[in-house]
Amino acid sequence: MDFKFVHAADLHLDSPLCARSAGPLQPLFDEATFAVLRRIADLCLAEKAAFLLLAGDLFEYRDRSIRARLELRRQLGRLDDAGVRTFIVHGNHDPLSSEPGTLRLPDSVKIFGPAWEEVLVRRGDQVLCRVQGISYPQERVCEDLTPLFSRQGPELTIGLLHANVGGSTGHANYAPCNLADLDRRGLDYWALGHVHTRAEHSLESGGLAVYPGNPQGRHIAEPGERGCVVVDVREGHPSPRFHPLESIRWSRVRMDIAPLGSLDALTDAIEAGIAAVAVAGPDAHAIQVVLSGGGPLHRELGRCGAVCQLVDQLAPPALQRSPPVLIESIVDHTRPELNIAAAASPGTLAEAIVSAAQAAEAGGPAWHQLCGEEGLVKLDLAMSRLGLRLGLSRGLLERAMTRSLELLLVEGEP
Amino acid sequence: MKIERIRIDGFGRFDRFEETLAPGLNVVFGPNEAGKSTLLSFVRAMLFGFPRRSEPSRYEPERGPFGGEILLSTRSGPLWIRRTGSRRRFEGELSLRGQNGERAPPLRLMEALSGISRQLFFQVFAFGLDELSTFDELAQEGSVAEALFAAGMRGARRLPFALEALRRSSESIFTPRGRRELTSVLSELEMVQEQLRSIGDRPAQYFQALQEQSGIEREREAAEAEARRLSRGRDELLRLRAGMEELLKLGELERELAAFPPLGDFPLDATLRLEELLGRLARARAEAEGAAEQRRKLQETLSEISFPEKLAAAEHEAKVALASFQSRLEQLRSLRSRSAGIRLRRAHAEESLRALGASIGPSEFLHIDLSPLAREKLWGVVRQIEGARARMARAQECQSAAAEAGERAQRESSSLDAQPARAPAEAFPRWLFRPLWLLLAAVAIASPILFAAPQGWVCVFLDALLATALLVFQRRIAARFQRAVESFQASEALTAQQRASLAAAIAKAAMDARNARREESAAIADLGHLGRELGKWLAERGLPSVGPVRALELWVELSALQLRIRDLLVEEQALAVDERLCAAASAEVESAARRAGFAFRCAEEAASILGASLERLAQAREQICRLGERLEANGAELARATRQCAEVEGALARLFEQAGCATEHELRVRDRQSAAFRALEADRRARSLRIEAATGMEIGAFRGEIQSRGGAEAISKSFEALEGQLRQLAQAQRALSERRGRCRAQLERWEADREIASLRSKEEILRAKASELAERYALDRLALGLLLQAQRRFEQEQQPRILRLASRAFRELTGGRYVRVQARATEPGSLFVLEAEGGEWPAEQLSRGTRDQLYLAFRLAVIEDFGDSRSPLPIILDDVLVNFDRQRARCAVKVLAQLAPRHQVIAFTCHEEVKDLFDEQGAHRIEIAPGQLGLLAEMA
Repeated sequence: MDFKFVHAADLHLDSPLCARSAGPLQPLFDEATFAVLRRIADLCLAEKAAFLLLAGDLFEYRDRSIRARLELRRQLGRLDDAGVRTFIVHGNHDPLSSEPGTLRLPDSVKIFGPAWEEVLVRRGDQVLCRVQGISYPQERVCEDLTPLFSRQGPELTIGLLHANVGGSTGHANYAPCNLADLDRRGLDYWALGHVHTRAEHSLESGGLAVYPGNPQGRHIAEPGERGCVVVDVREGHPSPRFHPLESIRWSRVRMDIAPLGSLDALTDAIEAGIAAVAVAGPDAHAIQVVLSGGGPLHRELGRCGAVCQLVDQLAPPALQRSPPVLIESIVDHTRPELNIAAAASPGTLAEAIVSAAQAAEAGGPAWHQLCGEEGLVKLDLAMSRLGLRLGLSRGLLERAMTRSLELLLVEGEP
Repeated sequence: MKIERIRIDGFGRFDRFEETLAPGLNVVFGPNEAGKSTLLSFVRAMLFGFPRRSEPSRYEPERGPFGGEILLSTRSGPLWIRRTGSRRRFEGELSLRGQNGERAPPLRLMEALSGISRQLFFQVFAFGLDELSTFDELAQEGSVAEALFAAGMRGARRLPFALEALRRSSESIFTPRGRRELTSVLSELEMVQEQLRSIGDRPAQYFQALQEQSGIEREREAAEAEARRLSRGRDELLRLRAGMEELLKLGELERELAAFPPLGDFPLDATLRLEELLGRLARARAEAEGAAEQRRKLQETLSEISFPEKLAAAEHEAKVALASFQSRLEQLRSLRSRSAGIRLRRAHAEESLRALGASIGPSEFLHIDLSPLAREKLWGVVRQIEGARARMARAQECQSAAAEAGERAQRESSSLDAQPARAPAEAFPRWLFRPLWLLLAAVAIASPILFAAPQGWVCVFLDALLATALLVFQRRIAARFQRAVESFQASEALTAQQRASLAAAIAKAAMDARNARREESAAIADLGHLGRELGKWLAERGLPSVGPVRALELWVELSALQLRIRDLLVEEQALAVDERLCAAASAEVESAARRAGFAFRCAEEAASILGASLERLAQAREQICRLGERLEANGAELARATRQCAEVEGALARLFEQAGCATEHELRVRDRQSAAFRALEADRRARSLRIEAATGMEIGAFRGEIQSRGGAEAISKSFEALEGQLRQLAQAQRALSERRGRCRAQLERWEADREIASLRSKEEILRAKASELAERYALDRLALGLLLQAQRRFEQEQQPRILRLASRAFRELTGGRYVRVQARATEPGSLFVLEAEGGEWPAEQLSRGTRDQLYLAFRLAVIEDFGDSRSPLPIILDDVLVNFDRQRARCAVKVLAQLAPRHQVIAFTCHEEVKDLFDEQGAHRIEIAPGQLGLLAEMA
């Protein structure tokens, strides 16, 4: 029998969106994750889906905020009223151990426990499919959970799992496994969660492993379209199609200042870049503008408050657009028009700086000496107490070298 | 930068002082206490602000203005720096002005000073002997130390600036010990995290509160059930207690009722009814008496009315006669005047008839035919006469016109005949031309023969000219004659035509005259015939013979007169009829009066008497009728009153019989007893009903129930106990409700709570901000670290430039005795000197003068380096050469003079020989003396 289901993951309800200042869009930002949940429910109803799969990390915080719970109950209640079932596994952000009590969810909602379970989904007397799943009992699950899954019958079998398939960087390596592990289990559809970037993998055995990604990007590092997957099952074969749902879409506009001769030209170029990105669909856009390259504008941008002024100038018209655009930030990664190779001739201080940077980049005592500077050490200490990291990277070292050379070699105040 | 002018409003002893400086070497000479050090402090204060109020070098005057200004010459133009004392700021209020007096930003001053620090300027550029002799402070000054080791590196000219910029930039974000932007952000973040921690696990609290709420609900339900049970018991007791009071009262009532005699059939309200009946009887009797009295009065009035009997017998005839007479009365009164009027108008008509010349009387006149037909006939005759007269007049006019035309034609014809046309004559006799031509020919032939040439040829030529002129003349004469002949012929033809037309006109006039005469005679004949016809028409009507026009006028007047006479006749007939009718009406009224027995003189009087009598008769009849009606009503009323009296008396008798009383007094007493009995009885019934309603039991059952519960006292005690329990329960319920309300409010608050979300959002924002600031800080610190690493490498590998410059200056200052100045990285802040002979000495071991020279050399090196790396600044020296011998002082002044083209030098001294040394180098000299300050100020 043909049917449809909806697969979403990593809702991170009540997760604050990391915009430096959302200004008049703050209410939209605050409600974004909830708006997305409502849209997922709407989509299930519009598509007449048989059920909804939520593959972990429904909540952002271990304590699962009350607002988030109430909203989840409300939306799943809507689905229950329409006869749409919901299957949930919990992930590292909302493990079962973090459940302090229960807000009674509708009867049609199935939350998988810490042990593997399988549920038969029926329509009338006929079995539509089998859904297998397992929730994280606690935040850290470092063992591969896929061996617990196995095909139990001839019907379409779905594995609902929160896991890092293929050791994706940028995400904690929980329930680690790879595509071959998934393939060995012989399931038809792996409804995965945890990795926030959308991905679809065809398995050799004919199955599919799908990460729908998180339906609402939470910061500038999660740009582009976000949503969930509607899976059409025809004659036992699932075919997923992505459905964008996000309320706020994050985007990066990269701008090389080399060909730009004036701030007006830069403003025009940024506005054009924003116009190209800020398409209709989401409720609003949050855009980070990254200025790069070397050019005459570098010194203008380097003046105290110049970037802030640029933001102040561009923000109001951007907010007036439809949909409105929040200029989240303008990042100045421009560099001076400086020929470092020529400037760092032997016997000059510039050469000494370049060689010091090279020595530091190679690691060892030079790097430790740089990083061991009192201010940096104390700052790192202060930040680590607050759960922050002072990221001293090689890229930053290169920028530091450029900055010191610029100060030394380019006339005038930066 | 150079100082061009100093202007002091008030500073130390200076009061309104102004001086101009040269751009190069300057020496200010003055004795002790002339104000040299004050001037140094003034320049320092103008550039970097006044010292603190406690500092002696503040030089604030006790009264008057405090401050002044200096004019700088900078790379970007002149700059006036004005600084005045301020209460708010110890450093004073700074104001900058540009070339044209426009305000300039404070940045201009920083630019002019090339970002030099106050400390460095005071130590290196503007110093006195005290500063000169100490090197420690200078060596500890960060920028000097950096300059010491770095300024000489290749490509490191901007190193101090870069280091400073990075330090400034990074320290504006974060310092390990101070409070900066990043520190604030981190503190704020820590606070937010602390707030989040203090809120705790909100969902756990929420679920705990949910459980508490359901516990409270259960307790409330139990308490409510208990309250319901107790309330039921209390209500029952309450009802019994209410019934018990009623029951006591009921017993008393029953006892009172038993004491009354039997009053069951006594009529209700007997006294009231008695009073009412007695009242009604009295009113009925009074009415009967009144009616009898009235009847007597009416009968007397009726008997007094009089009545004319005769008139009453012939009342109808009298009324008819009177009405007829009254209708003719006006007519009767006007008969005489109408008759007189008709007579007068008749006389006037007859007079008019006579005046028109009619020979007939009025009666015949009425029969004359003046109808429209006759008038048409008269009109026809008159129009024909007028037509004949007009024709005759026209014929006469035509006749005279024809005669006149004939005469005029005749006259014109005669005048034509009298003026015959004359044929034209030639103006010049034609025959004369031939002899003239012959003469000219002869002259032409004879001239050549008679006269020799050229006279002969002249004669021929003149002859030819004359011949030509003659030919022309002859042709003109011939043409004029021809035109005259043609004109004459045309005139002749016209005259003939005129003659013919005139003859025709004469003939036509004769014909017209004949026709007109015929017409005239025909008209005359017509006139005769018509005149006769008109005469006949007039004679037929007895009218005189008159012309046609008058005949028409007569006809009009006669027609009007005939109409008037006819009207008169009609009026005469109407008058006669009216006279007859009036006479008849008078006779009738007189007859009626006579029959009624009235005496009168004329008909009008009879009518008047008759009218008055008839009116009196009608009034008497009406009065009798009214009295009759009133008598009838009075009879009815009398009967009704009598009947009512009887009825009331019957009712009174029945009332006494029903009450079983014989007298009024007895009845009244028994009635009062009956009323009291009935009230008590009603009270008893009401109480019984209330007891039944309150208890739901009949009286008997109720008494049994009280007995069974141990009596009234036991019931009251039970009731009090239940009340107490209920009060306690209500209190407990209130407490539960409050707890539940609090719990619910808390849950609702948590459900709608955005505090955590807001804090988490804030946390994210702060984290992002902190990361961004930390990155900026790290970038600056890494850049700074790289610069410092590179600098350290140079310290080990290369001699700093500043030491080389200092070595050169020291060599010059000491006249070549010392050749080099050295610094050791292991002993920062220490200087060593090398003699030309090779000896090495630490600075501390040098003589005071040589040490001063070393430190001056070092300062001059810094000054020179600063000038190279940034921009030259002025040097101000306050008597720093006192410990120099004359030779070395001369060398020093020479070195300063070498510097002066780039760095303005202002040296203060009180020593003549030093002044002379500066004079030798061409310095601009300024002299000041203590007593001259005021004078100088005046001069300024």
